[in-house]
Amino acid sequence: MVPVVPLIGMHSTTLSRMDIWSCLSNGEKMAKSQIIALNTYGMDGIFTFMDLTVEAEALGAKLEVSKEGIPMIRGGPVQSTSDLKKLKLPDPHKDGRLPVFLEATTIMADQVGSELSVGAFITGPFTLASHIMNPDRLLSEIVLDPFLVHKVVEFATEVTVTYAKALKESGAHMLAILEPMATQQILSTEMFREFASPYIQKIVRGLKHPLILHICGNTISLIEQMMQTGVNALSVDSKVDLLHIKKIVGDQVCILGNIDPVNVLLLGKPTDVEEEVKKCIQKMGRKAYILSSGCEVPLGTPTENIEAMIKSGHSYGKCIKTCYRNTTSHLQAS
Amino acid sequence: MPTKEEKTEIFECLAKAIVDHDPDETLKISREGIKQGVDPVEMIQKGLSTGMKRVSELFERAEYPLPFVLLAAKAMTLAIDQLKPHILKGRAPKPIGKIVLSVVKGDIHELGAKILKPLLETAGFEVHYVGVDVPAETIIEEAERLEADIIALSAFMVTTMIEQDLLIRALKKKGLREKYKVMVGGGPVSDLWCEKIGADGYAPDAISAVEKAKELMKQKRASVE
Repeated sequence: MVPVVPLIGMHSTTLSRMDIWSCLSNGEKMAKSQIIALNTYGMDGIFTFMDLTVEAEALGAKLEVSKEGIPMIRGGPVQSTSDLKKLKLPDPHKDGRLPVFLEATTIMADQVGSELSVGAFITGPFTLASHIMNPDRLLSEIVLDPFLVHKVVEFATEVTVTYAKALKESGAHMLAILEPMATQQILSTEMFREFASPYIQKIVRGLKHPLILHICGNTISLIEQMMQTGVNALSVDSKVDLLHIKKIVGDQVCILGNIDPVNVLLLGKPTDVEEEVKKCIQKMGRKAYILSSGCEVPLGTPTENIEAMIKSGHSYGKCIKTCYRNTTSHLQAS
Repeated sequence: MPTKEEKTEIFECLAKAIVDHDPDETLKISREGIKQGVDPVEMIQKGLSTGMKRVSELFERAEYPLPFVLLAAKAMTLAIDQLKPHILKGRAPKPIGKIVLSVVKGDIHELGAKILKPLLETAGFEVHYVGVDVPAETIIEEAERLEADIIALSAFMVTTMIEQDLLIRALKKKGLREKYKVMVGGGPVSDLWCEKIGADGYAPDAISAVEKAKELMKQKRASVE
């Protein structure tokens, strides 16, 4: 059967009418906003907000918050090997807003964790490295000083594992690794093999907990490598064709995806959403598949579209709620 | 004066250094060319641009990853800066169009814009990069001041895409919409979005943005004639 889990983060504030930044800086508020979305939509799993700046901020990266309350990294703390040596592993219970996400996870797990799966996000090592060093610098150093890149990504991996363990202890049933910088539009397959994949494998080995790997954009040439990292599920963006993916992975790994977040969820009508839902389920069948958005549900998405996604997902996927709301077991069954 | 063969060799070496995404080598060869008396304008047009054209082709065939494009673009920028002071007065080629390039308000992701700028310059455009997190008003002021032909807007986040829409509305309000071609790009931007906000063109990546800019320039010329 097909669980429906759109990647809802800050979109929940459309329903809760809460301020985005106050949710991102207060665990209680974040959990409240997400649970309001859950009670309205009735999806089969919930996550914390998606915020790729939280680990870098805890390491001392300069953060800027937009008028809408969205944080961005402006200036990573590391420009050389000596800067890197000065960095310490953050304490997830103390540093930056890491405790906010731990608290939100704990509250969500306490309040709804017995009924459905609660997930949290961690920033992938290569992407975190790009926040620690600035993206153009990191990408240039792949060619000029690959040894330095390895050192930064290695350190980022330790940060990620430390934080992930704390999220797991806080009650997260599953963790999604967000690795947008490692997409095939940026890295060649050889570069992915050298700078991204080994570090994701380290997380898999270090954590032993259900893991989803999400990479934005087109990832078709990376799918086999993504699968070989040993994660339980791959979350794919709308730029890849699910049939193509299915052909490569079969039932070996669970797939999440891939309703187009911008063209369908944000700009489309409920009937467009329904059409796309039908196509996804036709392509993927009901085994080892979780219907989701290709990436985070954009702010400004009409709530009718998400309602349509969940309703049609449940009816085409013939999801009997009480039995199949455990997204995590779906992840592990594959 | 260098012979025709010597010049051809310099151009080829420059193109190769760009494809090898090697800033040091590119600078070395362009210095050598100046020493031998090769025309810097020709070095840009027949050497560096040829190299960048090959980079574009390789990128489109997915045989050239982005870190290589980034370094090739860097090599290109450094070499142009080195060659510029040597261009004789009155010999500088007339730009094929003026572009004001900016990352929209609320957005600080400039990787795409950084790659796009030198690519547009090699294609013969005069490019003014306004920066990141720039309000629509400022971008329009810059376009007015510089008498630009094209306004190119990059937005990396779904939350900042709306700024592209706002800029087009602001242009309309000021009665300036017909004066500029507006092109949009960035991670979440799509053809559908471009159509919805009434922009003139969308490109999915920096390389295809250059072709789109050329196409828009042609349309603009045609509409004037």
